[in-house]
Amino acid sequence: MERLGQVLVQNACRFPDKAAIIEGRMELTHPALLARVSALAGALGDHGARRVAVVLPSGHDVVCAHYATMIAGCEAMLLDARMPPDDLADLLGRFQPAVVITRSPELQPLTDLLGPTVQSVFLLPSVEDACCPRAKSQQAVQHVAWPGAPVWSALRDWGSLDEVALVLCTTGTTGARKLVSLTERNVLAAARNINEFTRIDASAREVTPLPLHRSFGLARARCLSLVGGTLIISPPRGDRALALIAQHQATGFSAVPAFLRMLIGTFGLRLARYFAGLDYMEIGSASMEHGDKLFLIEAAPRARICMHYGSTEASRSTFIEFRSERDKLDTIGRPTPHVNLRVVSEDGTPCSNGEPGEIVVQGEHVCAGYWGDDQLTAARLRQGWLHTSDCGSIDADGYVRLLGRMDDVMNVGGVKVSPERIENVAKSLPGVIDCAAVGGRDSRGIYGEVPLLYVVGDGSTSLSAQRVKSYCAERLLPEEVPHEVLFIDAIPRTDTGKIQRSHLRAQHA
Amino acid sequence: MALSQAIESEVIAICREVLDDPGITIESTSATVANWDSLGHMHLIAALEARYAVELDVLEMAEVDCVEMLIGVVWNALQFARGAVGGGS
Repeated sequence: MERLGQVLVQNACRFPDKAAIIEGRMELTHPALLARVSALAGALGDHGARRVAVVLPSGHDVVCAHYATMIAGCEAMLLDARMPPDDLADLLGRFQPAVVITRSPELQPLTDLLGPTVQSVFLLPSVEDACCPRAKSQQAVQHVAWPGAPVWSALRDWGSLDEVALVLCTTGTTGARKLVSLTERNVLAAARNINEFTRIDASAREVTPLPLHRSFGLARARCLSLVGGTLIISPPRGDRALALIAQHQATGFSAVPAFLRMLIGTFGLRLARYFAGLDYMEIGSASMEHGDKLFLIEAAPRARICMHYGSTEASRSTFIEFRSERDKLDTIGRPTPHVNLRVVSEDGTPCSNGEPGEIVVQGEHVCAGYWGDDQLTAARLRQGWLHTSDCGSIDADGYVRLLGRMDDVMNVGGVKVSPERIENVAKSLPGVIDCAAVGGRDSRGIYGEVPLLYVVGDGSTSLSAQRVKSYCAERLLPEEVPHEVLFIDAIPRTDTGKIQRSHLRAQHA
Repeated sequence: MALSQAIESEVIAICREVLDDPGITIESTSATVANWDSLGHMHLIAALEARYAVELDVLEMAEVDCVEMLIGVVWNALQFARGAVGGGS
């Protein structure tokens, strides 16, 4: 497998004048990206630290720091500098880095959170440096300067492909954040698999509003680097993303479904003006409304619209292309190239077609484990398979249907009930803006567990709990019909749009 | 009240309502209004387009980060709509 450093060197030679990353007015050519990465990798190599925390706001510096730490053979945790201080303190406390990479504007609020293990702080240049008060820190502060040319010595001593190189925090819908350990092999294999499906090449110019600390956004950067394309970083604002597509005649766009919903809801058919020139889109991280999928097929008439299913632990395990697989849009597609996927029963035996079970995944893209948590690693990675805790089934054509989290699937009198099935039906009732189903205790003691449905209504008087129940009863199995319908102001969701069912269960308990 | 003043007052009122901040003035910026985030900005576009029955120029809106600029974009859209419908008189 080609190493990341080799890829960056080749890009610098093949595309000396082409932008690798564009952010605002800054255009970083492939040679300039290589120069920055090698300078930082060199500084890390000279220091000798293995464990490094990167605390930066989303942007091109995150990509540079990620590449540099990987090339220098470090184990790097990427953290969003805008995280709440308590979360930052918790994650830094767990990780105990020897070096922190940040910028002057972020250092001052960060300095009180740095524990005794931190020996040095590497400060990347920032445009705010001139107006920023000189940052004070108890640790040795090393100012990194961006050179005009690569520091070749830094690009020779790469770490092992199979050592942990990247630690990412899961956003998670429940409990404490998990720290996922990834090797260079994992992330490069994932990028290769994704590119094979999306079919991008060196001509790719992609706009993304995705946060670059997270699995999805970071992988987009790597996918583009792998082919020598251009990453155009957008602020997370719909109109600015569209303006960048127009300004740079972008060929690609990547976003989460919630961002696309916001665009579709605000701009409607006007989106076609911006999406008409796209060759591809990548969508993922949460489920998407069927209507939005159909809308994109029309609004982006020549694009391969690729939606993935995956997780930080196994980036992109399945893909579906909306236009060519239109009759399978209710599924999450088929396994990504080079990925093995099965649905297994509780005893680990493969389920038959259509039978629900746990989705398990195998491939070079699957993470090395959970950082600092051998117990969780042993529980989730068994005999080379990642147990995703997602419930699904596979149809006769090999398409995977996602039924929810194993924990979320309800057992109603022995019948497995998927919350997503109930939600999809309820959402088709006029007046229902949003909804979420969870399992609750059957107070009559008959079924053990019964479905509860939380609904956000549009305020119309005709939408009553009884109306919702009757509507569902006409379209669902008796066990799937909500036992109780509760109206609330908003469904709790993560910032990527996933329903936080544990919050609703706690509310009802 | 001149039309431009009426629009200015109305846009400010819409901003106050959509962004749930009665303290918004013409000097307010996206950095000083807590709810003026990416979603709030989209809600503003939708509310202004619905109120004036115009399409705001996406590329112009992309530059907007304060109320004063927002008023300018609305004004341009209204002028464009008047020109398109009434021959620019």
